[in-house]
Amino acid sequence: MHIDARELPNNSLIEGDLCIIGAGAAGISLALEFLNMSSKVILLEGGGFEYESQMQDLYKGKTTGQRYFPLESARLHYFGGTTGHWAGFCSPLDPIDFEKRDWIPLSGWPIKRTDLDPYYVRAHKNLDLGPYEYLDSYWMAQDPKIDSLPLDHSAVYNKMWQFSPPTRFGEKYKDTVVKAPNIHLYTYANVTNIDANEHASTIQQVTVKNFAGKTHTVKAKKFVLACCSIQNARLLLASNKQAKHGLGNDNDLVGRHFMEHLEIKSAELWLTKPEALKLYAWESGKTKARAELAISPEKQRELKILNGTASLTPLEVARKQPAFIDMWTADTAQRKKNMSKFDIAEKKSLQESGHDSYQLFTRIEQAPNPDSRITLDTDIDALGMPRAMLHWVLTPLEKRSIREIYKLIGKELGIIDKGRVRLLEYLRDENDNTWPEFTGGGWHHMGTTRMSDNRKQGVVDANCKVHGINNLFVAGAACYATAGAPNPTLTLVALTIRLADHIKQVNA
Amino acid sequence: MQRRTFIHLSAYTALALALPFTEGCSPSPETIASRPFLFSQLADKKAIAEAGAAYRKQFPKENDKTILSNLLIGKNASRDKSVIEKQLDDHVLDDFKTGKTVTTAGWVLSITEARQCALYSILNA
Repeated sequence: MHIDARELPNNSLIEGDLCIIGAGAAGISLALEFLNMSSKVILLEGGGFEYESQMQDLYKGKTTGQRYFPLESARLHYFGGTTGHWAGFCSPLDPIDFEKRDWIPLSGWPIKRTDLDPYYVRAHKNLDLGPYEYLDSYWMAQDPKIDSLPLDHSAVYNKMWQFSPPTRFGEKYKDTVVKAPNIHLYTYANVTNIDANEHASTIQQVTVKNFAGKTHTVKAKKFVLACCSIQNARLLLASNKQAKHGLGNDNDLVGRHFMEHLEIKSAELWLTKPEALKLYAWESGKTKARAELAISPEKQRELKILNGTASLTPLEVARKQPAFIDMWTADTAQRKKNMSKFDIAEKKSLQESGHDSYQLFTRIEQAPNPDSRITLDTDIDALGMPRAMLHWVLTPLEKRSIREIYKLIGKELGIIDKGRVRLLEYLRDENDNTWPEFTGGGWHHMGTTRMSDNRKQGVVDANCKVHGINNLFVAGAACYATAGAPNPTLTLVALTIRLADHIKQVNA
Repeated sequence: MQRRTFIHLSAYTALALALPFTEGCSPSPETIASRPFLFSQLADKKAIAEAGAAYRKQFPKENDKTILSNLLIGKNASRDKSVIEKQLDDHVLDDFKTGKTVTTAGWVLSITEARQCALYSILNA
């Protein structure tokens, strides 16, 4: 059922078994797992069912360090959350992403890829993806006309991505959620504080506010934070009545290790003759799967690099597209113009039969870094909450990894005698650790309540439960210990479904 | 694959077209060695010369016509054009297979073809 929290009498008390804070990909996926069960689920959404600038304003915040998108542009504050503008790129993390890698500080998850595999299968359904198949051979068998680079897969292989339509959770799941008798969706219910017991070991209630001037209280047996990596950290840090430095923050970890996928043009691939290389091509709304060039785990270990991939875009197309970091502006007309330039260039490229030059565009994890973090500003938003501030920091390892990736691809391309790779200017000086102006991220926020069995290295445990608090969990990419190369949505939905199973098991 | 002219034109390199490599009556072994086969299909003369100059700066001990020529074809080189070309092309492929690559002016090249570029940049300075 749906309740507009603005219509409730002021100071209402809402009670349930499970309180989910946030109704995006994670929050809705979690609620769906409890559909028609005996548990009473309270699903709290700060916004309504449509985009509203007043709601979006609550996500504004300052950024320092590495240049970043305006914070309010990277997330959406309404039912369905950021799925309202995602592109639908999905691929699972690789087994190596979960491993401890001695060249990457703080790497290693307390779970393995095999622990997530069954949940990836279930997440595929939520995201309207095809079969859980990520071998290039499977997809190439679907269409004999698909061609690819015959590289040595023990060094550089084709990592597959699948594409969600993309599923807009707000549109697709609204009716299901609203009609469910045991799911109580409250819109315009912004959580502004979490109250724990005296020792901050149990959450007792949360406070919700809205622009109608109403304040309500929600009590539940268990609480799950599912309102994105920045907001989850912000809420924990701001909830400091029982714990001076914020809830779950005894070890000063909440908000730290903020990670993005570094997304940046990096090199050019020049071929001796034009090739369509359709395995790497993507057309919005049409392509079901495509590959990016990925580095084998053996080579990652040998070179001691981060996990990253390279996508291929015809060079004449890429040169007409603005950098991601420049695409979003506060000026709506300019923003549309930028997006349109991007789309037109891409559509035009698909009309060509082949290209002899491609831009190689990197998507790479960043190393977990405590200095890259979310903190609270002294500035407060319209509902009285301190605004989030982002200090995004990269390290030399990211740059060296990108350089090594393209040196390796260049070497492998030389072996097959098909062409050569040219690194862009900013990668050529091995002693230069600066980043060019067009450096950007993928609007992917991860790691701010990272997972670790060791409470001195992570905010949540392997079950996404906040260390030291017995009934508070986190759902979403905030739990990632490392980021891998793939876009985060598929993994965060899989991790959320796994969390749902855990909560059900504990309840039983 | 047929050996093509030394210039591959691309609308996007925006580099000025100079004269293609002309064979002359009987090019010297040094001249033949200064023509990186595959790379010359992708890059124009200017780009090859730039890569060569960058290589010479990176490896100043090789910044000499005779040294480069000796490294590429030895002192007693065959004068047969096709023999020299085949030998160098094989070396280029072997370099990639054995990891003997160098990044010069951004290009990931085999050490042999980088030296060919370097020799070219000296001969055509």
